[in-house]
Amino acid sequence: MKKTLLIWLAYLICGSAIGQEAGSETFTLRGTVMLKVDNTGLPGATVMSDDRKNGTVTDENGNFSLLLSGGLHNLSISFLGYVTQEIEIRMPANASLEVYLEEASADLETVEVVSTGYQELPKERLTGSFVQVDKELVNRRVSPNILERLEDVTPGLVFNRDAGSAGDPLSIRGRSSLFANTMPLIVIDNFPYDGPIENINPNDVESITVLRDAAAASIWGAQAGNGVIVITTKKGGFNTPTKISLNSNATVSEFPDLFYRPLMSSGEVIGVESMLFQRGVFNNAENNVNRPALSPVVEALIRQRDGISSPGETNTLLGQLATHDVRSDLERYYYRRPVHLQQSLQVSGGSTNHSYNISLGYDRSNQEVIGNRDNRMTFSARNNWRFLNNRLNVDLMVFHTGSSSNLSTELPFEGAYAGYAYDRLADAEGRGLPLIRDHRQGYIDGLAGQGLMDWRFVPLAEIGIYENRTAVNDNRANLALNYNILPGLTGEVLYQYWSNNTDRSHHRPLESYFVRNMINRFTQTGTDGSLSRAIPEGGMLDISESSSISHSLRAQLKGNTVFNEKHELNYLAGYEVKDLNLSGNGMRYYGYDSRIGVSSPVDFVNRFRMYYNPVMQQNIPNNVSHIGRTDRFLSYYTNLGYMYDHRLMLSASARMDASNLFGVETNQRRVPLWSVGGGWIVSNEKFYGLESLPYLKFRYTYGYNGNIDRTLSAYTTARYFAAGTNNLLAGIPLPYAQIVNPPNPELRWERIKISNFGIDFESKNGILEGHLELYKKEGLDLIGDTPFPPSSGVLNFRGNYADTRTYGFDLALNTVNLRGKVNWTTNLIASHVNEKVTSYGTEVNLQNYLRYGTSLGQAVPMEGRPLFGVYSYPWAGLDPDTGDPMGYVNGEASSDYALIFASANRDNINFHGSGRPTYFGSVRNNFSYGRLTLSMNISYRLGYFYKRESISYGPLFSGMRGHGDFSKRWQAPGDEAFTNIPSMPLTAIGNRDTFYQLSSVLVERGDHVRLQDINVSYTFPNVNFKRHSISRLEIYSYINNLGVLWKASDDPLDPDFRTMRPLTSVSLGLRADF
Amino acid sequence: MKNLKHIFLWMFGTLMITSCEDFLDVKPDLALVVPESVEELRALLDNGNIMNETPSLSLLATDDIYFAEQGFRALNAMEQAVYTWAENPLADVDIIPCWSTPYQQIFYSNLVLDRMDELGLVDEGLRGAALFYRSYAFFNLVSMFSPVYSAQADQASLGIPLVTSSNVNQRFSRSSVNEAYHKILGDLEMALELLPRTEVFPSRPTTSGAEALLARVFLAMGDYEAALSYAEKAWTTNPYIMDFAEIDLDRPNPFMIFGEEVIYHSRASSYFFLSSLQGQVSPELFNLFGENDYRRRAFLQDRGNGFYIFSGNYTGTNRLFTGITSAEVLLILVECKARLGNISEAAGQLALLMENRYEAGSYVDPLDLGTEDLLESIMIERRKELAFRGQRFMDLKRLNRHENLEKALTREVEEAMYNLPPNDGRYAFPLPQRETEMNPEL
Repeated sequence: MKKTLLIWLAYLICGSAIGQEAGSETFTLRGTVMLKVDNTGLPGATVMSDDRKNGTVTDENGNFSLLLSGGLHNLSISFLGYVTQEIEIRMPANASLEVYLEEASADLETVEVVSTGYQELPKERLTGSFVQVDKELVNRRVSPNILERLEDVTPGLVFNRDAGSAGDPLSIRGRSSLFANTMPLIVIDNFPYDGPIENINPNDVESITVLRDAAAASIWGAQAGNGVIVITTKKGGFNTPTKISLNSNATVSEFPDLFYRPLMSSGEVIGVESMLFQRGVFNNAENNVNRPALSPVVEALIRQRDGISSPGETNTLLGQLATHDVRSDLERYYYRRPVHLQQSLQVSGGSTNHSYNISLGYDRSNQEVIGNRDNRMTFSARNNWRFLNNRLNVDLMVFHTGSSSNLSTELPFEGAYAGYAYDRLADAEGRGLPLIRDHRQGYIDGLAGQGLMDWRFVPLAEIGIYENRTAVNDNRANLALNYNILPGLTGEVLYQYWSNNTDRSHHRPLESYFVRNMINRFTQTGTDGSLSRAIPEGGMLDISESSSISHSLRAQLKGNTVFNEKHELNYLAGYEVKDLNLSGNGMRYYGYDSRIGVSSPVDFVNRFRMYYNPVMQQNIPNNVSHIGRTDRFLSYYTNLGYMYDHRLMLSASARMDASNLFGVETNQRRVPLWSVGGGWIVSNEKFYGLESLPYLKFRYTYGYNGNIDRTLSAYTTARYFAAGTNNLLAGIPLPYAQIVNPPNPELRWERIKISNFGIDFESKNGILEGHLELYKKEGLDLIGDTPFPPSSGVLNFRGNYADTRTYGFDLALNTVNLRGKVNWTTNLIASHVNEKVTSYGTEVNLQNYLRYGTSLGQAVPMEGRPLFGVYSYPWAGLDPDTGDPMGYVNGEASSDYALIFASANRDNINFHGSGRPTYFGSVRNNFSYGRLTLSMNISYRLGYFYKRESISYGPLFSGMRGHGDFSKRWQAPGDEAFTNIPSMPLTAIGNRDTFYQLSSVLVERGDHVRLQDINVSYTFPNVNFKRHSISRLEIYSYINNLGVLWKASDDPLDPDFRTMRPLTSVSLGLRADF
Repeated sequence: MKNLKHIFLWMFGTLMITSCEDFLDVKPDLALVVPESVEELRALLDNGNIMNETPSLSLLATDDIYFAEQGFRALNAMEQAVYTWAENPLADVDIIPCWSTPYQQIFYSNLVLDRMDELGLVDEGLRGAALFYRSYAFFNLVSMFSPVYSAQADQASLGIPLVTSSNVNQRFSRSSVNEAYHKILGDLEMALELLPRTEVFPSRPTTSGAEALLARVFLAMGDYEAALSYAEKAWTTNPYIMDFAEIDLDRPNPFMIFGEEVIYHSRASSYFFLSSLQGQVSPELFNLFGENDYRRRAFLQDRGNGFYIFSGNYTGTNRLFTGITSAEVLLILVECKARLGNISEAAGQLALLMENRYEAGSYVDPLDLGTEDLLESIMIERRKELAFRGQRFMDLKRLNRHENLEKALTREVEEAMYNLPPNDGRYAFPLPQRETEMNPEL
C-alpha cells in the first residue's frame, strides 16, 4: 500500500515530463556556446541530448543548431577542459540558447548544494548557518595544511594567536568550552576524522563546509559544540572524458630572523655579570658541590680575582666576547631558508555507469634548521558505480598517507639550557668550539684522562648526527552503498575503516653530548676509586609506536517528496556507531650500536649516585609508556525539512548520543540534542516588488549542540602508574595509583544553546550578494573548576560549574565592481565575537587573572568578563629617585609591591578587554584581465589586547639573557621623562618584576591590518607540446605574509607574532590539464 | 533487485535492534580504574609522593635552622613570616602543602576504608595501613596547627577537622585537641591489631611502625608510661643501631634510602626554604656536635665560613627524612625511663646509642652521670639524632610544659629582634585562607 502511494507520488513529480514525451513533432534549437571568460564563441563544443540520440558540434563561431522533439530535454554541452553544462529546455523554445562554458578548474560557479556530512542539501532550503568554501578558494592559498586554507576566507572562523593558545589553535564563533575539547569537529567524506589533519592533502579537497549554528551542526550532536568543518574530497563525473591534472609548486621563505625578538647585547650581559660577580653572587655556585656551570665571563673574573690572569687580559677577553652575538652563529650554522615542494597528479573521468578519481600527491620540505626535513606521500582512489538503472550507487574510496620526517639536527639551546649571549660556536676557521653546559669548565677539564667520556659540548660537531625519525601510515577506506528503494526514498549504508600507525625512533649516537653526559652522570666510583658505568657505552634509542583503528558504520534512510506541487518534504533518519581504539608503547634502549642493531640491558630498579655529586641518587630513566584507549559512540538522529512553494521552510533535527563515558550511570551516558528553524524567501512572494533586490531570504534557528569532557566521571577514578615513576618521584619501587577524579554523581554533558538569525540577499545582476548572521550562543553546564577547602582532600573540584554567553555577527559581502575587459570583484567578510562568562562559581587570588597574556599563567574565567580578559595593575610611572616601577595603594603612588598586590581588587585593577580579537575579517579583491588574474587578501583583527614583553631582572640575575628593553631602562633621575622601563635593582625582587610585568604600561592594543597574501595567475590558451595537447596550462604565484599595514600600537613587533616573525614566502607553481 | 531490497531491510533491522549497553561499557582508558580490588586500593596507599610526605614548615619556626641575611631575603613572604614568628604568617596564603597534603592522605585512607566497606572487601593489612596513614596525617596536623595536649586542657582548645569520610562534599568542624589525640590513639590501637609484622618496604606501615608512632604520640602527650611500653615493643623487634664508624663519612650524604634503622619511611614536603640551600644548621645546634661525634660529618655539610647545611638524610636524596627510626624509638625509651626514675637502665641503653655514634672512648659514659645530667644528655642526644627530622617543633612545645625545660626563642634578622616565648599561641599555626573561607563548619 505504502509503495503504491510512493509510486503515485513519484508519478506526480515526473508525470508532466512523461506525458509530453508522446509528442512526435520536431523543432530546431539554435544557440551559441561561448567562453565565459571573454564571451567569445567556442568552436568544437559538443551539444548532446540526454538520450544521446541527437547531437552536434559548434561551428567556428560557436553556433549550433539541433533538431529536437517537443517537450523537456536535458542538453549537455561539453568541451574538453571545460565544465560540462547540463541545461533543461522545453521545446519548442522561443529564443535561441546561449551557453557559457567555464574552464574546468577555475570554476567560479556558486555551489548550489552544501554537504552536512550526512546529506547534501540545496542552498535554497537551508535555515541554518553554513559557510561554503569551494575548490577555487581552497586552492587560492599554497600550503601543505588544509585548515590553514580556511583562514581569512571563512566568516566566524579565527586562528588564535594569544599567549597560551597552542592547545586551542582555531575557534568558530568564539570558544564554547572552558576545559573540555575546544577543537571543532573535522569531518572528511561523511565521517569524523581522528587522525592528524596534516595527513590530508589539500589538492584532494573538492569543497569545505563550515557548520556554525545549532541547525547546521546539531546533526553532529554531542561533538558539534565547537562547530563542524566538513571536508569533501574530489570525485570523478559520469560520462566525462579522462582528464589528467597536474599541480606542482615550490615555496621558498625568507631566511629566519633570530634578531626579531629584542634581546640584551652581549656587552650588556657581560656588564651585568661583572656587576653580579663583584657582589659575590656567584660565590655559592662556585663552591656548590654539584659544580654547576659558570659562564665564561664569570670564569674569567674568577681567574682575575685569583691572580691567574691580569686585569688587562681579562678586559681584552671580555671586550672580544662583547663584540659577538651567538644568534649570528646560529643563523650561520643552523638555519636556512625553508623550502616546500608540492606535487600532485590526478586522473579522473567516467563512463555511463562508472566514475573515478585517482590522485597522487608528494610534498617535501626542508625545514628551517639544517638537516631537518619531512615529506608526505598521499594516494587516493575513488570509484563510483551505478547499477540497476542508477538505483544502486556504490562509492568506494581508499586513501593512504605515508609521511616521514627526520630531525637530524638538534638546536644547541633547548629547554632549560639557553647558553650565553656571547657564545661562539666556531673559531675563525669554522671549527666547532665547546660551550659551557652543565658543569664548570675547570671541573670538566680536570676530569680528562680519568676514564670518563669526554664531557665537553661542541654543538657544531652534532649537526646532522641524530636520527629522530617519525613515520606515519594513515589508511582510510570508505564504502557507501546508496539504494533508491522507491522514487524519493533512498537507503544508505556507509562504512569507514581508518587506521593510523605512528612510529618514532630517536637514536642519539654515542658522540652526542646527551649520551656522554648521561653516561658520565651515572658513572659509579668504587671504594678503590675505580669507575664503573651504570649506563653502557653506546648510543641511546628511544622507540615508541602507537596505532589507532576505528570502525564507523552508519545506516540511514532519506527521502524527498513533493505533494500538491507546492509542498516539499525531505527527511533523514539514521543510526550510527563508532569504535575507536588507540594503543601505544614506548621504551628506551641503552648501549645501542646502530651498525649491528644491538643494545645492552641496564638496571632500572636501583638508584645510582651521580658522579658529580654522590649525594644525588637517581634511577636510569626508562621512558617506558603504555597507553590503551577506547572511544565508543552510539547515535540516533533524524532531520526534517519542509518547504512550501519555495517561499517558506521549516527544519527540525534531533539527535541522541551515547558514549562509553567512564564510570557514569547508563542514563547519563546519553544526551539528547535538538534544533528547529524556519526560513522565508521574501523575494518569492507575490507582493514582493523590489526589483533591485531580486533575492531576499530570512532565516532563524534555535537549538542545542553538545560537548564532552571524557576525562571526568561520576565515580572515583584512579590512574595507575608503573613502579618506575613512583621510584623516581618518591623512592618507592612499587606500582601506585593516583586519584584523578573524585566522585561526581551530578556530572552532565556540556550543552551549547545557539540561536541564529540570518539574511541572504542578492542584487540585480548579482552585483551585490551577501549574508548577514546574528547569533547568540549560551554555554550551559560547562565543565569548570571550583576550589574546595583542602580538608575535603581535593583542592579543586571539576564539575558542571560554568555558564558562558556569546553574541556576535558574521557578514559576508560579495560585489562585482567591474565587468568587461577587466573584471573586479570584492569579497568582504566581517565577524564580531563578544564572549562573557556569565556564571563561574568562585574567584581565585586576583593575581591569577592578571597573569593571562604573560608567560606567568593562563586565562582564568572571571564571572561577568570575557573568558580571555586582559587585566593589569594601574601604572603610576617610575619613581623619579630610584627608577622603581610604581603602582597605587589607596590612590597614592607606591612601590610597596606586596601592599599594591594586597590592596588590589576587582574594581581598582584595569580591565582592558579581550585578549582575542573581537572584530576580525578580511577584504579580498580579485582582478582579471583576459587570462591574467590577481587576488589580494587584506585581513584585520581588532578589539583586543596583548601584553608586551620587557625586562625581568630576576631571570637576568640568575643568568638568563634579558630583554632588549634593558638598554632603555631608567638609569639616572630625570630618565623617567622618556622611559617607563624600571631601573636595575641591586638584587632581584620578585614582586617588583611581577608588578612591572602585570602593569598597564606593558598592555598594548592588538588591533592591526595586514596584507596577508597575493595570488597571481596566468592561463595560457590551448598549448600543443610535441603533439600532446595541453587543454589548460596555468602558472601561478602566491606570496604569503606580506606584513602589517597598520597597527594601533607603536610596539615595533607584530601584535600576533611576538617571538618569531611570520616569514614572507613566495610560491611558484603550475597547473596543467591534459 | 528484490533480494537487494531485502538485504537492505535486514541490515537496517539488525542495526537498530543490536543491543548497545555492552558496547558502551568498555572503559575509555586502559590505565583508568574505579578502584575496586584490594590491589587497586593498595596502589593508592603506595603513592609515596602523597602518602609518605609530612609537613615541614614548622622546622622554619624552630631553633634548629638559621638564615643569614642574604638567605633570609631570598625567602618568600610567607617563609619570612614563619621564620620571624609573625602573628599570622599565613594571612595571604591560599593553600600550603603542610595542610593540604595530610588531608589528601586522609582522603585516600578514607576512600580505601569506605570502598572496603561498600564492596565488602576483607584485608586486615590494608585496613590497618589506611588507619595508620590517616593517624600519621592527623598527628602531623595536630602537631603543627594545634596547641600541645594536656589532660587538664579545656575542651575549647582547637584541634583539627577529623575528616572520616571520603565524601568530598562533606565538611567537618575542628575537634578539640583532646578529641584529636584520642581519635589518633584509638585508630592506631586498632591498626596495631591489623597490620602485618613485616612489609616489603618501610614506606608501608607495620606493627612496629604503629607501635613506634604510638610511642611518639604518647611522648608528645607527656604520657611516659604508655610511650615507654610501646617504645619497648617496637625496640624489641627492631633493635638495630647503625655503627657510624663503619660508614663513609666523606660522602656529603652517606645514607641510602630504607636503611636498617628505618621503621617507617616518610619525608618532608618540599618548600623553597629547603631547596634554596640557604637554611643553615643553627650555630646553637651545630655546637652540640663535637669533633668526636661521627654525626658531625655524617649529617652536616661544610659550605665554608662556618656555614653548615644538613645533608645526612635517610631518604638518600636532598629531601629531609621525617620517618621513624629505631634510634628514635631507643631515645623515647631512654627518655621515658629516665623521667620515670629508671636511671640505670636509661643510662645503659643511651650508652648503646652513643657507642655507635662517637669515636670510641671519647665521651663521658652515661652510666657515670647523675639523674639531672643524664636527662640533659638524653635531650641533647635526641636533638642531635633527630635534627632536621621534623620533631623539634613538637619537642619545643611539649618541653615548654615542663618546669625548667621551657625555652624562649629569639632571632635577630636585619637588625630587628624577634621573640617566641614558651607556650606562646604561635606554637599553633593558623589555618590557610582557603580552609577558613570555604569550610562553613569552621
